[in-house]
Amino acid sequence: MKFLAAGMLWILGMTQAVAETQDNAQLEIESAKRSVIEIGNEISEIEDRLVSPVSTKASLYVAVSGGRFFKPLTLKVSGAGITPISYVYTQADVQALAFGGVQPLPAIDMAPGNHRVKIVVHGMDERQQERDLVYEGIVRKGETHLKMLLSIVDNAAQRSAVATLRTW
Amino acid sequence: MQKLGLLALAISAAAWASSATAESPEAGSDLVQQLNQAAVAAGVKATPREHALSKRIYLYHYFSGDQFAALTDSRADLSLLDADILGTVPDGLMDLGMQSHAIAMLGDNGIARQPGTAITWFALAQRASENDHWPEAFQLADRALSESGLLTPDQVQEAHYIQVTASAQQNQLDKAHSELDKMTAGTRWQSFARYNLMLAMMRQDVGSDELAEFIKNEISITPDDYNERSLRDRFLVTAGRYEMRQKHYPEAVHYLRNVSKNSSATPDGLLQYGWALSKQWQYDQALQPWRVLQDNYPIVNLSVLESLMATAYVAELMQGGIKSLHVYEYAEKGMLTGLEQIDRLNDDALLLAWIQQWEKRLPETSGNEDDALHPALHNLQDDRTSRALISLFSTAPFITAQQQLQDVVAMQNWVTERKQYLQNLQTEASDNNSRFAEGALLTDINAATERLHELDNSILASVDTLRAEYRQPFRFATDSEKADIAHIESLILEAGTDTEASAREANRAMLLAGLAKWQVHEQEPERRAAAEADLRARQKQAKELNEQINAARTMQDQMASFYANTDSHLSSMAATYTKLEQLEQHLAQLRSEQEMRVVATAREHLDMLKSRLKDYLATTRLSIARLYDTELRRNAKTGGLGDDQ
Amino acid sequence: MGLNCRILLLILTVLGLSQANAAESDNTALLVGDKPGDLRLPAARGYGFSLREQLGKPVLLIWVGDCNIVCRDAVPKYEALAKRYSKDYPSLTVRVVRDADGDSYPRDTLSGMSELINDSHLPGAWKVSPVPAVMLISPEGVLDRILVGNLNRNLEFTDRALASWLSSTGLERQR
Repeated sequence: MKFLAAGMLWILGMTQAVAETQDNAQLEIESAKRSVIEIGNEISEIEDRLVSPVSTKASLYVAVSGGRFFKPLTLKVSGAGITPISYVYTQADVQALAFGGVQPLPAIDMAPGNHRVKIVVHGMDERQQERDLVYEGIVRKGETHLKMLLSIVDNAAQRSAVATLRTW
Repeated sequence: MQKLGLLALAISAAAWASSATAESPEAGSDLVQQLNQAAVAAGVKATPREHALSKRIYLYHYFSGDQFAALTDSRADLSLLDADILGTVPDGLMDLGMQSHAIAMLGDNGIARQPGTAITWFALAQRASENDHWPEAFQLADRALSESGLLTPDQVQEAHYIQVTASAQQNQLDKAHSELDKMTAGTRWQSFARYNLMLAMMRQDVGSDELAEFIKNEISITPDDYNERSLRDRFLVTAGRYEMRQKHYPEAVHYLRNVSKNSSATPDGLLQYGWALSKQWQYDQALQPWRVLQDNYPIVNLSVLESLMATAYVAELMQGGIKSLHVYEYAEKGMLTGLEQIDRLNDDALLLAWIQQWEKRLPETSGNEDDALHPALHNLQDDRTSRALISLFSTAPFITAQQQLQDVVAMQNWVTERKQYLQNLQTEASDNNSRFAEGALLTDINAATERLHELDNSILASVDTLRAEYRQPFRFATDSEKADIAHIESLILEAGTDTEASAREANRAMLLAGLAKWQVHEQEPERRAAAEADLRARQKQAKELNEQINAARTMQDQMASFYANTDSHLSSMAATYTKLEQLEQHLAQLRSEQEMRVVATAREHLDMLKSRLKDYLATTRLSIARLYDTELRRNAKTGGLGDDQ
Repeated sequence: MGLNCRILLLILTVLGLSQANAAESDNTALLVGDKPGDLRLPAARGYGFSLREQLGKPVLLIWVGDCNIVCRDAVPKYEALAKRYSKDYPSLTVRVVRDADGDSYPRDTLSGMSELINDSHLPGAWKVSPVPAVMLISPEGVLDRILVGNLNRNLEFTDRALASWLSSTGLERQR
């Protein structure tokens, strides 16, 4: 959608820029890039809406609040009836989380009902020592798209961090 | 969401049309406002939490450097409603090489007013300066510097550099000097800026003393670092050429003699040094740097070609007669070799293969001192391979064409990967549909309903049992307790009271019965609580099972209605797949055209070299012919055979 | 979703800067000239590694498997080699890739080079066989060269491959 906004503006408002560049090759390539973003957008929509119904959908997001006492290195999600998820964090990922970004993990197919979920985040503490943050609990999947936000929150008093899970 | 986007665009288009008719340069489409209106119009009822989530997903992609995901992830769609997010979209577009789109978006009033866009303005200033749009570059850099806190120190220096260069390019020397004063001395950007300012000073006929003062540091210090040394040499070569044009030959020789022996400016330095010496009639000395140049650099290097021509020219000036014939012949041989090499290279198939092999090579510095320094065109580097074609990289059209080709190749890779991915999605959708059609969920629902039915029956039975217990005199007695009490009571009846012994026996039995009954009575509250808790637990279990069955039924209905549309879903996917195929075909065509463009650019350059070389060769051969002719005439007069007695 | 684990089947060609080709026509096999998907692995220490994030830099991957005694002798030599080239090509990214032993990751280090753990359970892992193998991946993400076999024997080949490959990648060479 963002592409559409930009793209349409390009069509409508780019007369001047086009006149300035007069570079057909560049314009053709930019036009192909527009198609790439447009199709990328469509595929994202397909993945989101056309592969499985919302009643089986669950999404897990990861956020870091503070990030001083714990930096994630890997994450593992497991549970009965859930396809396990593993993720390896690079420095760029951790930086994006520290800037307030929320990481969307791959969609999870989940049947309605209660599910025991275990999330292990392996990471580094303030002294660069490796340690695990573990969340283990039961989530309830209804007939709507279940959203889960794993928050890794600094606890300044204990100079550590805790992992909590919110669902809606 | 697509609908929202289209609606927003419709409003945007209308606003654009009205602003266009108003002919107001200030009028923009004010995308932010229109998108917000569009969001309301489309009835988007996202909760604040959904909205915040979408925004933070966008920021995650954006900050982790995945601009493509930021622009295409449907989970981040809602973020578009935020003006601050919109302000970063042009940056993402710039990253993807979509400059025109970025400029169009930044032209929007809503975004232009946004703070926090320094990086985007900075990136646009870079592009504008690369394209020689100097007034715009100055403005854009100014805009970026207005939020300099958002830029890194290096970016701040580069933005100042753009401002100095933009002023210098417009011959506003005072302004350029004052911008230069804002820069940190000793940084590479300050050196680039000083170089460009020096060029502007030369355009305004700077005097020798002022020039010498301006570049005194360059004369006195030779950096160890190759890139820094190349830049310093570039100052000296340019100053030397300038002084030669001014006919200040001693000053020129002074600058050029100081050019180092190993930098990107060395070939040009050697060529110019020879010329400067020759201008002072030091012909023998002039041949030395040219010989060094010819021995150490490839023949198709422009400086080498010119040095061959210069060698012949100086030989003629030396008026050495037949003695200088070997110099001419050496030059002729060198030029013929150069022509041969150019002819060999000037082959489409070979150039194409070479371009495909060396696609990513960066340009070397341009030999033309009149080109203002710009880092994109001025990667001071020593390239050891493919030296025969190295001068090709210094041309801006080649670099641009090559970068465009890179973009096309990257898009082709993307299309190939996405086709596979989409096929996987199609397979997954079909598999999901088949699994649903197998009816596993329905079977589960039926089994769960059966379980619920059994549970309900057991609950009813328990309720009946409880009611019956409440009617009992001694409630919640176990079977064995009941049996014990019954047994004791039968003993009492059997014993009777006929004799004293039997009466005693009956009393004891009655005592035992009382004790047993008391014990039952004593345990009643606990047993009753347990029985009632068990009933409640089963009732709760039944309730939960019932809820699950209802949820599963709802899901079954949802799934039924979802999978009823599987054909339509698959055809949507197929339509997108077709688009990918069309794009694939288009890109294949674009790639082949672009490769031809790169080849054409390369050939154009080679043709230029060839034409120049032919001119040199013709002049050299003419000189050789004239030399023979003169010698023949002289011999004819003296009757000798050409020996210079 | 998608194929996460790319299988690399190699044979060693014999001469000079040997480039290996896929030994079988398995459509999951990586070939020289391929642009493989992301390799995303945890590091023995610190942040993980993503090949996609290295675009624009030449990458040297040294796959050592569980690294036997011969391999342990060779790895420091590769470190010296990498240091030598890093002087001229500071953007050269070098990683040693070791196998995880089931769920446990190696605790020791083989050299001063950054090490990655190839944990086959992870979606971003590659299955590389045979190992040891040395891979050169271009700044555009193309698998340019592969050398398989004894690391000691391939040290000189790797040196020569790096010399020609790095100069061909068109990177800025600092002197």
